[in-house]
Amino acid sequence: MRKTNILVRISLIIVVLISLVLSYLIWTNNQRYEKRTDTQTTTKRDVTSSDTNEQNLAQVYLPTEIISVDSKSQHHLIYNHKESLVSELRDTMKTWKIWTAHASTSKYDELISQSNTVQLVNPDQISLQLFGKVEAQKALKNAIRDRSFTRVIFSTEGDIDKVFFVNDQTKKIWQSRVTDAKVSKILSLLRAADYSAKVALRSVQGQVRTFYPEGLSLRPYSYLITRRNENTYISALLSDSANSTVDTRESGNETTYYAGNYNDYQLLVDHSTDQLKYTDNTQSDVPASLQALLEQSFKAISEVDNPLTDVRFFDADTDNNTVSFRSYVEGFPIFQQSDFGAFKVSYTNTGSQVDFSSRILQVPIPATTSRVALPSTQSVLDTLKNAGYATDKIQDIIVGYRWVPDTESTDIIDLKPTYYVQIGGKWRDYQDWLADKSEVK
Amino acid sequence: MDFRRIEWIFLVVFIALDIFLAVSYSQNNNNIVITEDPGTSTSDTILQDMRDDNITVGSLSTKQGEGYYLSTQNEDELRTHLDRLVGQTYSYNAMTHTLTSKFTTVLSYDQEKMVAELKSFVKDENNVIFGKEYTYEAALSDPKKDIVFVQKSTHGVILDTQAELIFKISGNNVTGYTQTYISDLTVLREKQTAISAFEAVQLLYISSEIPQNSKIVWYKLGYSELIDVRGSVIYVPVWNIMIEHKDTKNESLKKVNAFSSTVIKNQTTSTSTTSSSTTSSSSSVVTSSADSSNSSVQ
Repeated sequence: MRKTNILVRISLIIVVLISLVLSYLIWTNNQRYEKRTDTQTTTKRDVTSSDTNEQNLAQVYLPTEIISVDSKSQHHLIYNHKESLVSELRDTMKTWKIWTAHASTSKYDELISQSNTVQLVNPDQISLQLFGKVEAQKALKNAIRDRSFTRVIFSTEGDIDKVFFVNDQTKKIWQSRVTDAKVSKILSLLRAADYSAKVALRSVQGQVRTFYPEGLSLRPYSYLITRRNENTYISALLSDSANSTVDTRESGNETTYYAGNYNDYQLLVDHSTDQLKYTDNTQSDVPASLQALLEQSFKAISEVDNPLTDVRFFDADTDNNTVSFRSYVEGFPIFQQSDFGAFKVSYTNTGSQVDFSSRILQVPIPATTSRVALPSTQSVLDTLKNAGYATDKIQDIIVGYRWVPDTESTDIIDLKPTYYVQIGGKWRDYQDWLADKSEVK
Repeated sequence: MDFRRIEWIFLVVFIALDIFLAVSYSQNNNNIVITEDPGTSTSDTILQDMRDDNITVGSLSTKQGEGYYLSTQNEDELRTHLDRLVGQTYSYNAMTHTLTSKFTTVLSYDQEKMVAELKSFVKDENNVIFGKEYTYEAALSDPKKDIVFVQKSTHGVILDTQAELIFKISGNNVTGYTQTYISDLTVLREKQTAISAFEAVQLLYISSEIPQNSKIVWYKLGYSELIDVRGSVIYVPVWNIMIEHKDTKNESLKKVNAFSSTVIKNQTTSTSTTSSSTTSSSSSVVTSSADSSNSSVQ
């Protein structure tokens, strides 16, 4: 009698615990939202296969900087102009087996300056589950809790047995056990790099940024660009909504196209800047997590159907549910293609919005000028400080390419390397900040 | 007594609840998988449509290739080495960048040995300038009229009228050749992925470039001129796809830009004239399509 009594009690406790765990899983599982957007987009895509979509997703969320730390803890930004080092590293990591991530006891400052390591840096935080998805790592992809990180760090000393996921904003660190990883393959990829610049990790507004203590010299690039016709966007974004009639309204340089039952879909074309804005008022779900935000905004930009070869993730703002993407050349972002880069996606509970540019990089052509030497990052900050910009007003600094239209041909642009500085939420060439001091307070 | 009964009831209720929760959780997860299907089915429908139109495709590689954006400013390197040539009279056209040469004594070989003999002939610098950098291309050749060699670069084969070596054949005799050559190719950007042969053929079909009742004879990835801009010529990997109409046996060469996935239209006619091998022997066609199955431009 006693025994069955205890048995019943124990099994009752067990089933109650199981029900709690299952409820927790279902409550934290946000895939129900994704499912809805998935079905919406698949009806729209015809020709593009899901294969290329997955590839584009992996490409857009590739890290943009590879930093190699040598035995003397000196950091080097490395690059390979012939092979795409970032994607080769990604492909190599796909062959690893990365186990579930757990909180690490390592110290942030020690880890980011640890000798003989490799760091893969994302411009802003991305989701570990998304990383697991694009790297084909099941344990990370199916993790119960998602983590956000900006930097992947692993040691190249001896066998690779663990990898760290570091968040530069919160300074939190997660680590995973790694098996099936060959350090020799990584080392040979690193050795093949044909560009290397000394860098140091310094803090700007509490966030670690890549500084160039000795300056750097970069190749300028030139590109042939095209302006895609707005009709291609109308057919990609508006034509297959339930109501096929498209209304037009014009004012000045701007044309707005309306479609859908209650004009739910709008496409605003600004002819003077080649910038377009697509609004979808039927999309009133705000992504619930960083992963959902990143994946949904990728879907939104792939619907626009601009080529995504050079487009990389640049910035995610989970407070305002905004994600921006920029075109990148050889690891550096391009500015002034438009007011916002290549794409900006934002979600509110009244609808979603995609800002994009119809100016598209088409074919690289030889640049007419020789390499450009840039000063050290600190000296740029000092110059700005001397010009009156308070240090705490400077939100961010990054090396980027400036989009400069050619004087002779409207189809050619030059990409000139320079420093871009963010002040008051606005990115500008540091020389522009120096020339126009209206923001000095 | 009562308390034990309540315990039993709770146990049963919670087991039922657990089963319900487990089922709904697993369903939630499965949904994701289902939504990924519709995309892949489109390529199957295209294949089915092609079969319905009686288009024979054969087996196409779905493996993605790789390549570079290349550029050159120098198309006249040949002119500076003309003095190397021995036993031939030659002229150089600077407009078309073409060297035309006639042998002072006509070379004569057996039909069967013709290609092998020419392969060793081009290796001599005094016979053909930079001859070692050319490779025989069966698909473009017609053993009765002309035998075509194409230029190899360190980045891959170039399939372009500006990088060809064409021997003129009459019977068992080789009377002379025309040659074009590009040098100083520089890599403009890091390695990029190129579309697969399968994707290129699909694209041609969707763009109505493949007529009904035809077949794909061979396909090959090589660099072709894309544009001439600011005094530089830009080359990109291009899928060259030869399509033959099954009844009329008319062949037409189609080109697809393997980076931008676009059909290159205007060049179709101009290139097909150089390779106007209307009824090329079937044996050479078979060997070439076997060669072309590796899609990377190396």
